[in-house]
Amino acid sequence: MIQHSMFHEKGPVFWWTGLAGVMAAGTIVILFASLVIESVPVFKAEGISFLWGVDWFAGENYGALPMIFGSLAVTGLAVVMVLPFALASAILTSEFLSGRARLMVKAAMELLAGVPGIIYGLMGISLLTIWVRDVFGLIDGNTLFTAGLLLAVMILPTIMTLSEDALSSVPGELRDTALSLGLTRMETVTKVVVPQALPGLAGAVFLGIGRAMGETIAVMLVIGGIDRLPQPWFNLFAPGQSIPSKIGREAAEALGFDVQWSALIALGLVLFVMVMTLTFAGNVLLRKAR
Amino acid sequence: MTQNSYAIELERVRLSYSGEAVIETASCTVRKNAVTAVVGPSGSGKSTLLRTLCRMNDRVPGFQVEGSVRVLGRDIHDPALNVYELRKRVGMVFQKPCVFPKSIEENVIFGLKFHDSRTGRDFSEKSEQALRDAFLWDEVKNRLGDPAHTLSQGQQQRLAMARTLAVDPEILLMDEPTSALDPKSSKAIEDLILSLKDRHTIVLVTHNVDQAERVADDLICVDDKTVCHKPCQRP
Repeated sequence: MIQHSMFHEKGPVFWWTGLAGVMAAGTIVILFASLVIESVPVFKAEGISFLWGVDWFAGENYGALPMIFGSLAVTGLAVVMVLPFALASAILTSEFLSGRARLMVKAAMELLAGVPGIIYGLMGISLLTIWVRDVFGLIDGNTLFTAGLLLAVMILPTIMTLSEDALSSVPGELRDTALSLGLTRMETVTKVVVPQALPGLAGAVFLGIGRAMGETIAVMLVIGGIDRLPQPWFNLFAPGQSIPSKIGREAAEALGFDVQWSALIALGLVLFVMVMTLTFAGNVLLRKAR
Repeated sequence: MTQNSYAIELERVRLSYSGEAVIETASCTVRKNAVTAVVGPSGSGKSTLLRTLCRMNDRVPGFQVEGSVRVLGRDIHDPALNVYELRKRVGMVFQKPCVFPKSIEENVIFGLKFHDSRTGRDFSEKSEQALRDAFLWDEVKNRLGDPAHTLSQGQQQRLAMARTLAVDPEILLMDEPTSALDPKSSKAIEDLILSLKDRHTIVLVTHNVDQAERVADDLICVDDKTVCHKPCQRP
């Protein structure tokens, strides 16, 4: 019997790919460790109540809840608003459009997905805030709702094209089989194609959520920039703050001032954990769905 | 023979993709309750011809049918015809066994469920019958809840047949149903075809002439863009 030790007789390809893999994994570990280490001062000063404190006055006290709430609210809002449109347009494109029309829609969506956040942000302040103010009769159009709406527009192309990819990669034989059994095209889509594409669809949504949660500049321009929980909490037509917009606004001035700096890093850590949890939960759900 | 003894009648049918003819002219008939084999070299348009009979090519861009295609006495391109009803009466089994990522039993009743949507209806009897008709019941009766992809390729193909049979079509179209299978599974499918012709009209596309001679009552030849009847060698 021949037995090889794990590293015996591995060629250069093994070592190069191995090195790349270790570097990728190592980056995550170092990133996470430095976030944890640099957040220690604020947790020393505020204790764990940093996470649910509602006031943030630089130099006095630091409470992260308004930012955590803001991030969850704008992301949740964006996803709820975008899902029906993204999925419907993905289904239309993949199942009902002809080859050429499909390619044109895809090309347009992929271009849109690549538009930088700042461009959306400029559109947001010049158009969206004004529409929101006028339509809903507000004094100021910079609100959590506006940020959610803008994020919905921003993540639409991403979710739509990825969902479309997932739907159109469902094998044609499954469609043929369903149609040959006398199902209508709509029944084929809802009962065969969509269930089969579910993992890919969920992947698309989680990627969209990831982008929405991390988006800084566009949100910063329209969210209002007030570190306060809305009153009452579900009033999304109030100005607020998300984690990235808070960090983006304060990072330059806080650099070097240690508790405030540490508080911002801790916000980053919270965001990091939130996105990781979502991704993980998404994977678990997907595995269950299969 | 009266017209009624034909399940399918083609008259000067031309099939083309974007103007390019796959079949220049097809005039032939398929008898009821008989096995008709469609033979010919690969790429000659046998599958296209078969798919035309239940309008599976409706969605293919540029596909065009000229001439008259009558199935069960009706012109299938009549705008008043319900294509879903047609496909219910004209079932199709494809070359590659294709099962849905569901349990064996759910696969069998998949089509049936849509045509009989009364809630709380028990399909177990129908599914057992369909599996028995497809000679699969004894092999799966103790594992109906298992995922369908745990079956062998040959069993999956018989499952696909059971699923089509459950809808109770009058005509069964089979597109090289044994080409992906081993000899033993192919034999099982051939036996199955012979057992089904009492109740169904069967059109079988095959590139295997021996197989055609073993199971078919009539032969239709597709070659050089024309379709013609061929006297069957079988006694």
